[in-house]
Amino acid sequence: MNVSLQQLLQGVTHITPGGVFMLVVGVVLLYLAIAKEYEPMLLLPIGAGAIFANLPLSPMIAEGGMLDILRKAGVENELFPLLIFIGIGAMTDFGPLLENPKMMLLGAAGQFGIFGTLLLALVLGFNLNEAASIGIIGAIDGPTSIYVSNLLAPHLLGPITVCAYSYMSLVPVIQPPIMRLLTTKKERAIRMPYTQRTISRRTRIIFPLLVIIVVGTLVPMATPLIGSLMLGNLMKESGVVERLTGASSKEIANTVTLFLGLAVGSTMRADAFLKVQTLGILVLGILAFCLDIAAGLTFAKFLNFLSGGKFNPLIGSAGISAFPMSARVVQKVGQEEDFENFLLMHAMGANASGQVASVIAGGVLLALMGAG
Amino acid sequence: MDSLQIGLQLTLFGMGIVFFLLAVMALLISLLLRFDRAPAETMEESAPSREFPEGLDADALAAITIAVRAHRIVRRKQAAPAMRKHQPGTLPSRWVGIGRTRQTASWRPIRRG
Repeated sequence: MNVSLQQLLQGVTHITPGGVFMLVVGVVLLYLAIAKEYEPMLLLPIGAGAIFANLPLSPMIAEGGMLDILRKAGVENELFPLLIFIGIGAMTDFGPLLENPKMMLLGAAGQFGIFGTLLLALVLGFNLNEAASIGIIGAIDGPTSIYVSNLLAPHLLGPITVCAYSYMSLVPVIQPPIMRLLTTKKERAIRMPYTQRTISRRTRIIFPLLVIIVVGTLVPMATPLIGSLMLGNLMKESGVVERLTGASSKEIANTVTLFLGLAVGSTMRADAFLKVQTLGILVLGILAFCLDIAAGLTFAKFLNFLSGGKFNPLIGSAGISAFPMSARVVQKVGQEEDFENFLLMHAMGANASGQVASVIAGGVLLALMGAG
Repeated sequence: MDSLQIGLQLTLFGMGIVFFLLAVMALLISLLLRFDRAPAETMEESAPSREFPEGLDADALAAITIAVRAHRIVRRKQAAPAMRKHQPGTLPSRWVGIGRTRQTASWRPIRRG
């Protein structure tokens, strides 16, 4: 009888302080997703995954458990982030970028956070692979962060993913103070005329193909990321596979998001998550975001100087991957100075560029690190 | 110290390659736009003709226009029930949507005999 009681209570007897703390972390993630609506699509499954993984003797993360299967099927082989990229490509309109290709450069400047954070992480004592994985939080792109960190430092996947997604939802909070700090009132009020340019269907179809071929040839490590993103966009712009486009951007993207969130949450076990370096990653992650925005603003100020004061530097802060949230913030802050100033379409161009640039930067980082 | 040096090299090369790639893309897109301009609508094409067809005056033409618009709205309603979730042309495609609606809609007159 004693043996049976012991077996019955083995869950209770295996409760650990670390496990309890991680259950609290899981509940906090659920709170952020449900009450604050911070990236609920991902934080809710991540929070649930963290709870499932940290329940005592959880069979879900044991060999053959559901979360174990999901992790092996889609995270360890990078399948899930790539499927999500197809969906993102199918949802994204690169029209504002095609209307003004010069905005591409702002997307490049907005990736400085990746490399700046890499340096900071090295200073803090992380090894090179770990530093590069932490730096990729600066891509402000969840799937890219998961893809790169899984290849370079899989043991940091949990905290990096949580950082990437939770901070991404904080873009409207993080971005405006940096914008106000690095620009003058006069610069924020610069008006930029916008003339809509019709982009032909042919150009919209050629664009994804061009990106796949050029980037894939020059940086082969970026092919899975950029190829998936542009495949989704090609399907959307071709207009001949509406069912595939719809499935990629809705059913497949939603299903994979659920699986990915649960699988990532399952990596947040107490023994892997409760370390001092997790705290370092959380701090470095937010610094990566700030560096991205600051670099974009600084580069835009340089463009403003070159153009003789005709370029609003606020647009530079939209050269990140948080699409279209970042562009909306630019419009909002611009209108605070001049209500009739419409920067949205310019910012959308920079923002779309940030999306392409973050994927390219992820591939470049992998290539430089010799991964794959 | 060595890793910091490698980190600096990664930063220089990384940012350099990202800038280079995106500059190349910007250049290629600019060239593409130059060679593939969307045909601009000319005034002749878009301006309404002021000549009326034979036997029709302005009032008759206006009445026909209103009737055609009203008819289009009726056809659109027939093809697009209020409960539809998607815009025409998206999922399911409009023709498929019309077909499904015709199979199930109650507005279709019942043929007797």
